Amino acid sequence: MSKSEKKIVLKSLDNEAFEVEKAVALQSQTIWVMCEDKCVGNEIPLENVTGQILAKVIDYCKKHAVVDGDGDESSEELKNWDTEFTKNMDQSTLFNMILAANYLNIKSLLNLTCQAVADKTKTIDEFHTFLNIENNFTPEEEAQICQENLWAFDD
Amino acid sequence: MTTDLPEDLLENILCRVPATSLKRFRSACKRWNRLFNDKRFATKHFDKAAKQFMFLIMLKKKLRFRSVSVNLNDNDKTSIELIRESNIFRVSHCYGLLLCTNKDNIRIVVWNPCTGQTKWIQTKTHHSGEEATFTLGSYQEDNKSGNISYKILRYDNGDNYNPEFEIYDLNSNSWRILYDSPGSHLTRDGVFLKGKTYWIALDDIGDRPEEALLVSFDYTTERFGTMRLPYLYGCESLSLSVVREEKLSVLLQRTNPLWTEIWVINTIGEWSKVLTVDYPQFTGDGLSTVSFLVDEEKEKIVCCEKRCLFVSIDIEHIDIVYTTEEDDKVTEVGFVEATHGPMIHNYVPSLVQIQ
Repeated sequence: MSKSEKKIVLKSLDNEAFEVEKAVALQSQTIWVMCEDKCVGNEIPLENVTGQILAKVIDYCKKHAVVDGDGDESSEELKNWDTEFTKNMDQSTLFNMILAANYLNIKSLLNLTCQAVADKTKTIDEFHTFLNIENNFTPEEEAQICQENLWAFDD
Repeated sequence: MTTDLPEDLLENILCRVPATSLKRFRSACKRWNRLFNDKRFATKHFDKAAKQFMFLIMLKKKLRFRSVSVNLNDNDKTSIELIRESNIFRVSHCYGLLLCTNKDNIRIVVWNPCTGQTKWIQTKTHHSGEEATFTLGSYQEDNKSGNISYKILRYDNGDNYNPEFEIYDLNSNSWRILYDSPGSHLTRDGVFLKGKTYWIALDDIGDRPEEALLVSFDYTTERFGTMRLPYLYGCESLSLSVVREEKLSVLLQRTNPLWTEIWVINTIGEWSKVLTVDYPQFTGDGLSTVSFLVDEEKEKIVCCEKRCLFVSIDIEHIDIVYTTEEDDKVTEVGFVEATHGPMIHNYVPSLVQIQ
């Protein structure tokens, strides 16, 4: 196989091109299916992902491809890398990462990013602000539910 | 910029939030309040969310039922939370559901403290009485659906030689007699782990000294099984505990001089010792009940002892909660007044539905 066949170009929504190893890109089930179909050349357009997010997704895939291939890094180290990877992402980045992981169908990245949001959602205020969910209860209904909740795990 | 997530992705996030946090979100919005009581979501949450290891403690004062969460990391033992005042006398639990009985075993309820769901169990007239024991367990309906159903096992501890076992299936809402029996005398407090309840049992048939055994009951096959303990004889106090919903551990204690050992059993039935504690200074006359909790990850053990000290003709119970840290250093961290053993239950809250 020639060098060019092992590489693939991913093109983001804002026309940013990323040349990556095929083994890295094929962690995405969506890209894998596209390559199988042979309906695309060496360049794959990803219309739902911006360059900024795609760069991060590629970072993740590179890290995980190396580990799966060589096995020279312990799973513990990879876990720490994953934690660091999502640690400083803001809400908007995390949401876009979730959407990208979902669209590209990279299950481990979807799990990681959903878990990262879950870990940051502890109080009811975080629930509203972080998940963009508005309270549509009337004050009476809310009071009723709070009353039902009173006796358990009031921490 | 904020982005709205589609429903399925939002659900993927929420099923990873710990159960007790989710409970607080019930009043957050209508859609979520509905999801909170959805069986499919509960199953997903059970599989994906990190388990919260808490413990429940039974207290003497007005028979209150309290939940205690112990953060072994920070050595913070005092986050005692009142659940509700009630006449609960005994509890048995499985996957976050509690089976609560009152002293006479007349009122029996299955309760999920996290969702608030309850189901009262109809008992028969011969079921009442202080010696009756009820334990809650679960089984998988079939491999395809993966649905979990619950059963209650009932036996009468007052009848040492020929106790009758009965089964109540929460799906069919009916009692029936069980034809298998363990062949030994079960102690009252079993622990549930992966489809089975385990008890310490005493085999006192024949002329031999009383042997201590580990007896299990499988809720799928409805059969009893027996396993060996690290020692057959000589322990005055034995109790069982579940480690992180993964494996079983046993605490063995002898007096004069007092020592305690804690062992865990692996999947192929081999015991290994995790801790020995000697108390050369202990001068009490005996121990009645010990219950304990092992956290292997943090190398800590929490024990709850009921020591009997004889003061004139009254027997005074002093209950001590202590933690055992690394290097077998024992630290007493508090006193509580408990009803009876075991005082500590390992408990993992969940959103599972009773039916």
